[in-house]
Amino acid sequence: MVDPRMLTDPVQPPYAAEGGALRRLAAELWDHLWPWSRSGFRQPRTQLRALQGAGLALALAVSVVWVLAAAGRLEAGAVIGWWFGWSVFEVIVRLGAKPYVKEGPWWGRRYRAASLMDMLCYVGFKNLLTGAALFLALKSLGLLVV
Amino acid sequence: MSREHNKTPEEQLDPSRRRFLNTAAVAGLAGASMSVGLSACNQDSKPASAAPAAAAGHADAAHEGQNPHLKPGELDTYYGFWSGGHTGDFRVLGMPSGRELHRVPCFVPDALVGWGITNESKAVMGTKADGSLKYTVADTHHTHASYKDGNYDGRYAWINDKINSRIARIRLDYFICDKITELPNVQGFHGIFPDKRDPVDPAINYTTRVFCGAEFHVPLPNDGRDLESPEKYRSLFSCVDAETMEVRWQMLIDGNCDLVATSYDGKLAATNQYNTEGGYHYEGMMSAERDACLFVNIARVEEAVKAGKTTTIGTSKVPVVDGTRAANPDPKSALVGYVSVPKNPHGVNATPDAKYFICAGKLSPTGTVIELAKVLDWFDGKLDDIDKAIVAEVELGLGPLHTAFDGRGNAYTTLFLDSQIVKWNVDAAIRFHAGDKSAQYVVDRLDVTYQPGHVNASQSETRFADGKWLAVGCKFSKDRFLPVGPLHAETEQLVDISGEKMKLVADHPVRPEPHDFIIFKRDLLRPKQVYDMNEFPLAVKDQKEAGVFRDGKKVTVRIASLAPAFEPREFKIKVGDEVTIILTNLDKVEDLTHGFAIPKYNVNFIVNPQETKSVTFKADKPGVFWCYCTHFCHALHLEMRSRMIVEA
Amino acid sequence: MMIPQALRGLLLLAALLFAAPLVRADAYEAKLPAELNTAPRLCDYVPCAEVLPGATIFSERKGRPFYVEGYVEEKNGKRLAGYVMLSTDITDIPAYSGKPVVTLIGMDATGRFTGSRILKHSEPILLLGIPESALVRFNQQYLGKFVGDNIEIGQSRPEEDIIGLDAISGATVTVIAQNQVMMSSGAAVARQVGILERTVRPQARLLETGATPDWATLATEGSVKKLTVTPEQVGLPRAAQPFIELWYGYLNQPDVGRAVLGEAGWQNLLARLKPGEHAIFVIRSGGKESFKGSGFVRGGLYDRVQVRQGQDAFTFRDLDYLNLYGLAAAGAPRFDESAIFIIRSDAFSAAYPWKFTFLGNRVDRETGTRSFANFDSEYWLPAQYLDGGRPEVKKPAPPWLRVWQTRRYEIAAFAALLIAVAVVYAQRDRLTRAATRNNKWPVNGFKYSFWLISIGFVGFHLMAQPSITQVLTWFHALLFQWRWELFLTDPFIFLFWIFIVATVFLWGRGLFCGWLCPFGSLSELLYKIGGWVGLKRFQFKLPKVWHHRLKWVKYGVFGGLLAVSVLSMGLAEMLAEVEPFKTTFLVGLFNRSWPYTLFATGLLGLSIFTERPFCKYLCPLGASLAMPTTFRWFGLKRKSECGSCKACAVGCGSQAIDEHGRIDQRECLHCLDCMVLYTDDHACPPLVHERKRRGKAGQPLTPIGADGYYIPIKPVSAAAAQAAAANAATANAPSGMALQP
Repeated sequence: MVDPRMLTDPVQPPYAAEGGALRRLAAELWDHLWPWSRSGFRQPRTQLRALQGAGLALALAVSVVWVLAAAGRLEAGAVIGWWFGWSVFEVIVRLGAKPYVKEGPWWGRRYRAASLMDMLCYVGFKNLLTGAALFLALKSLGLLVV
Repeated sequence: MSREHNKTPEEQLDPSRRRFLNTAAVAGLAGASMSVGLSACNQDSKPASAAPAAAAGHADAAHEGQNPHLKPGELDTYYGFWSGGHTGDFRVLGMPSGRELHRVPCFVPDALVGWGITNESKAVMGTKADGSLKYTVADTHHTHASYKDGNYDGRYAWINDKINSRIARIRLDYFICDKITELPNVQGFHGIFPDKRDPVDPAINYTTRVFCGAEFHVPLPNDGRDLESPEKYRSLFSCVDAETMEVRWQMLIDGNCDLVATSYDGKLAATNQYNTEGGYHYEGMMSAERDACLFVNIARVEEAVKAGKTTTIGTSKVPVVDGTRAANPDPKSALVGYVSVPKNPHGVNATPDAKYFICAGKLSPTGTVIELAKVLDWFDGKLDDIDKAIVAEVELGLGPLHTAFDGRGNAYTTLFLDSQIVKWNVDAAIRFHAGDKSAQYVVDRLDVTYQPGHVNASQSETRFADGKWLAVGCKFSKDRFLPVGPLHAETEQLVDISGEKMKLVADHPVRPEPHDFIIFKRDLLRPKQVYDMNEFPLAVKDQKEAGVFRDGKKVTVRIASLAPAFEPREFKIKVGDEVTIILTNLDKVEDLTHGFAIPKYNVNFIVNPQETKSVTFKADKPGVFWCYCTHFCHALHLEMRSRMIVEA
Repeated sequence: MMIPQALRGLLLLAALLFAAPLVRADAYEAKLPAELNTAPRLCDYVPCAEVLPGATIFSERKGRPFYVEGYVEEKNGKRLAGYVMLSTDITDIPAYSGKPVVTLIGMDATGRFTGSRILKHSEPILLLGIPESALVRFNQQYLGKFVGDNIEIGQSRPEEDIIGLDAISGATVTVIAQNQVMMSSGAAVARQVGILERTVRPQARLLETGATPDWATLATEGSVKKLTVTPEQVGLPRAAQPFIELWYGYLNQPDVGRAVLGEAGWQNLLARLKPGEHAIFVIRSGGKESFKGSGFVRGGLYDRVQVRQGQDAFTFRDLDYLNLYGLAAAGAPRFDESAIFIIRSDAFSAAYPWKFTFLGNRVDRETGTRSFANFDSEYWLPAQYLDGGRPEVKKPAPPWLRVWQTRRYEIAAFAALLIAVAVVYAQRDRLTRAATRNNKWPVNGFKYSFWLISIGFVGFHLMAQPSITQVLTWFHALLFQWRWELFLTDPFIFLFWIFIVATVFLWGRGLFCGWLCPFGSLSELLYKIGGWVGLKRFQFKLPKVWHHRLKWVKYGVFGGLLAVSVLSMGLAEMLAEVEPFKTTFLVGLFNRSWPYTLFATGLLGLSIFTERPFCKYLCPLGASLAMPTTFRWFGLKRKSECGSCKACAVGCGSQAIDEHGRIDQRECLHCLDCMVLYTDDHACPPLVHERKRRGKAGQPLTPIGADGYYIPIKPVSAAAAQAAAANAATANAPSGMALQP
């Protein structure tokens, strides 16, 4: 019987039960930054997926960089291409290794299984934020000139 | 440090001197490495001549010194005003680089600017009845600038012409000569010095007078009388008004005048006298063992002038007061006091602390320090013998001539015969003279090449002597520069005096023959960048005002220059016309000067931005004459011409 | 996943767009001759005669800032007809695109505008949607108007002496910028040639405190200021060294002047200043570029530095230059170029703020073209050096602020609307309880009212229809150059986005899309009206299988636009025409070429028969908001029976409830119909069942709890009460178990 109160079935990530708020926060932060998980990678299917994902991501990244470089914007192209490629890779890896997203308030601890769209939204949105932060940081440090 | 010393050509020094320099070099090394041991072994080779300086020497050796060499675009920190000698000009140098920036024509014609060609310059120079110049030669020796509060105020500089006894004034906003005054009844006008404030009115804290000393004795008036009676020849001391350039008064004196100095309180002017004998051959002039330094009590002289206790000489209207010893027996009413100074002194210089005048002995190896307060005491009757104002008379070396100051109590005197500069401490000299024989007044000696005459230091003639640079005008250069035939450039040598030891840092060749000069901080001047057109009554203020205006045989051609054209571009005159060309440079851009030359008519002059000048000549040759711009102005400079068509 | 679907949609869209007879703009990113910015003979390159009719002879560029004199040939010579100026010679005010609209402006000798010509613009809005001719027509409003008048966008207000200009609907930012360009260019020239009177500012009364601050103090208090230009700012490769680093300050102030120049230097300077003249010093403490250049040698004018105060620009001639001989202040930086410049104008006053400007050239790294680039820094003498302190300066309100001021009532009304929507939605539980399946007015009364307000007031009146282009613009602004002014110039869109961002995180995108989006509201309203007027039988829903395929298209559209925008913002803006918003609200259905009208009316027409077709399948804005909606905080309620019961799913207008009864928050538009059922004991099957059971058992009907069930009836014991409380708190607990008789 499916629980209709969530878009997908509830899931408990390994750390969700952990106690202290700080530890949970750290675990969650780690979860956002690190798409891989040991448990996830025990499955050969995930490993294969990750390999395929890496190839696909690389292909995408290279083509974006190539197109943008052809348009004369190599530096921006390299960054954006890398970002695109990485995001695709991360979606695929996460679907194998950490296939869940948070449901409801961000301070809550409800998780549900992630569909491809959920993962796309999660990775896209998260990487948009980290990407923008990184981009602005690089720009303000002068390492990137646009 | 040691490398600097290596630059000095040691082969030109005598052995003892070289030894000294070597020691100094070692001391320099020692100072740099902070090695006590090295400097300690140095002590026993201390040369006698270096006297007390050696002990302090190694601390000083670490002194980095100043660099007189400027990078491109870097500006000099000081202005230098140089007299030109018998080129008759006034020169402006940038110091310490020694680069000549300008020559201001005053007494003699100058082809570049048209001095002596233009009507305006002729009016300043003075002309004969036929309009030709009265004099075309001059010999400038001394230049000094106007003061305010004991420092230069950037208004004027004055310069003398010894040949024709003229004094010229240079406006320091435009750097042009605006007035020339010929002193009556004198010859050999040599020393010159502006006063520094009024002796009476405290509100007048700036220069209002210029004092002029005449060297040569002449018959009074010199109208053909007493030609063979040299004992009747006399010399006058003159006072010129700084603003009007009229001669305010003259003073008949015993002996002659050489150089002039003035006190910072405005009360005293002095001139050293090398010919108190009134000799007319050098043997006679050097017969006396002591000559004098004449002190003039300005306030008393001007009271006397006011009171009409004056005469006039010949056709001159200038009031003359009597400053002879005979006429001034009582110090309490005397206009003058004669302080005796050994044998044919040369140079009298005021110390920046305003306390002393120093006379150099020339034929005596001494320097004489005269305390001004005591001279004033004598005038007040508080001192029985004016010679008691001499607080020091110390041996400096052979042929002492002129003295400069560093503001730290030291005097720098040129020794003509020794080819040296001696740095000596005035207070120590006074103590030595007073009997303290342990007082080591000689601080340092420096060889210069060769035969130094004038010496001056940055700001030396002000209350603000800063002890940075010392320039010395060496009369002989011999082998110091590439040879250019028998006539040699003079050597202006630059000495860094910021440390305890003098350090020769540069040789600057100058065209003969500068004498005296002053060096002062660049920010004391406020030169203007372009002229103010309103200062020229004849100005052609607009191209529309240009054209030919005829009045009988008199033709006025009004021309305006605006790069790259003269307006009008051609003009017609007739043979026999008396032509006056008035040219205004309408360009406003700084440095955009135009020239104007008329071939075959011997005319060339320049007009600076917003300046107006005029020339007058007789049109005596028919034909076409291309008047062209001689001063590079524009990409179309060569095309900038106007046709003068002289119709037969 | 239907990626191919997305692609298909994109292709369809592209075909639709390119098939249309597009009016391509001529001035959009037009290539201008390279000499335009530098050539003395400006009019050899641009049609000066067109903007100054009658004039045939044109001078070289003159003045500061530049202008050209135009003359009419007459029998006896020539007569001054007026002036021609190139806007970018005078001001670099950017328009919506962040780039200036390069305009050639003509003005007659009395200061009345005679013409203008847009040489180049980069405004996407004028590329598509609004024809360029709209801007031309806008500019024609200036003809004959006097440069000294107060001309503003909006209503004329005679009582305030303001002449209003009609804006271009949907391009307000562009025309506000254009108005600034026209007025400040005209005024800059008019002031130079004497048409406008020079400003005379009351002179500062400088206070002498006797302090001799060192350099650090001077810098801290703002008496000396630094202006740094980096190589990348002028299009050069990045380097550790600045392109140029300048320090400058005002020297007339006795304490500052003495501290900087030393007593002697300051007295010397003072002696050279006439009353009303002002001296500033400039030193170069870093970089290799010269601030003097060599331009002043020939023309006598320093062309790399100037001082600006208000509308006045003060440039320096060679005669306004004095040597700076040194800095006296302790700790002053080393410098290798210096100057004292004198401002000889009573228009300048040290009592008021002014700007020191370094006029540079920027080299475009891609094309190598040079353009003027000004770098300035503001200086205002510290209050302690001014007798009476700093005067109050009435800075002309920046354009965005004036917009906020002039439209304050509308802004207040709009803000109230947004708050009202949020408050109403926050109270949804009450409303849905009050409503029943047969009477949804407690909810719909509010929702329909908001729709109407949204369509009429927000859409047609304020034209505040959010658009995907804003998302793209923000995305780019974030990365490249964030200009608050740009966003603030449109207060409604600005507020709207604050609301959107907040509510998307709180409740999901459905609140904006379903309740406030003007086009969405219009679309669904048409559907409702269609139903009411008897078209119900023609109304249909796409089959589930097609719906679940097509709903991905909008994500494809959004992704495509985002990707394209990285390549070319212009192209992305063009493709953003997939939104019919511009056609519907900003420009008007009948003001556009037929493909646009057809597209918009087609979508609206379709809306009568099927609910929100655009919102469901095409809207890239909705898609962009749907993605973060995955992580909305508070969702709608469900009960476990929803898994088997299809009552809500069937009624769901946005088809967001799947066969398991789950609500897809990305698709849900918050119509709240299912929430009405949730507490309707005559409609929600579990409740109906329980109601009937209790009726039979003679048990009372208790109120319906937050979990959507009747509050259970059971003897109250302390433990049980506690458990019940705990139950109520954990809404996700299977509460069916509590239903104990």
